[in-house]
Amino acid sequence: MSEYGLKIKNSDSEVQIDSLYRNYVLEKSGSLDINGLQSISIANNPNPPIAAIRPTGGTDRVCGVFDVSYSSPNYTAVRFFGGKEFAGGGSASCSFDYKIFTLLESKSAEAYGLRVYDAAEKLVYDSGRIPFKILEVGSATIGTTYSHPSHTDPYYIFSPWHSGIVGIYYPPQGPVFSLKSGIGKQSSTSIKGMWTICAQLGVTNMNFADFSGTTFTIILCE
Amino acid sequence: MSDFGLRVKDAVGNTILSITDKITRLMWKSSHTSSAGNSGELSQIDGILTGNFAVPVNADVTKTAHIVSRSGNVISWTTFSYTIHLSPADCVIFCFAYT
Repeated sequence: MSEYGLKIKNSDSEVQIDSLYRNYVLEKSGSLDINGLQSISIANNPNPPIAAIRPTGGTDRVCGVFDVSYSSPNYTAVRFFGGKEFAGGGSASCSFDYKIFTLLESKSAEAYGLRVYDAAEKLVYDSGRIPFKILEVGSATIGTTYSHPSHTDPYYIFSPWHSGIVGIYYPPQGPVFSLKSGIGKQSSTSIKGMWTICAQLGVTNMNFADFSGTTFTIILCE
Repeated sequence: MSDFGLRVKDAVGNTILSITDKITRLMWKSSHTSSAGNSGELSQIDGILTGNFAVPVNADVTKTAHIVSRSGNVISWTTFSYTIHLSPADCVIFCFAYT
């Protein structure tokens, strides 16, 4: 696609808006306190949404984005999960705030400000919408606190969430758990990746564990 | 430094876009089925910082999204190696520029 329209740079000569690359904008936000999965519906949209979370519960509470729901040709919902850290045992809910961003095809109701369209007449920027904004990108490890002193109480995206399966020998047979990795608030400037129970799959008479990994990308945003 | 760029204000005078703001822009997204791993060069991300991640689509408790990484201008996505009861999910991979 050729250049079209407007290009705006900030005082550091970094591109803010151009005619090619669109801004994701806020569609929905809210708070949840769940132990398990919860689906939040969005307006039908062929563009995939992204979702960010901000844990607000205790340091042993875990939450994350489980997946997005797709029914051709539209994305229809985001599913979140919450629970308690697997290592501490027991079961409890996790409270967190969420934001869902997407590419909206319709303009905002704002009658004042700036809109930029691309050559296909798709909205690139609309000052009447709240844009998705990345603040920091880092690498984190499950079980280790990730600190971000430059940003207080941001929202987070992490990728990938990891999976695990753990069998616990407890005579004569113990449970087999499916685990998911999520994040929990440690302070206003730190989080920690932790495992939480997603499902009990059966019983076993042996101890075993299998995990897809422990490192993940953490993206701070607002 | 002298002023550079554009300020956008709303109807009551609040600044919506300032000359120092960093705006996150979608540089690339792509949908992939569960078994696929691949890579692609994105010339448009040359010299800029990006946040890259995968979002699972219609997942279940046994599935995990791809690992996404960047080397130079190349974005790569790979599936995990699994042993028991784990498999890759369909996913959408995103690349956002944030400077």
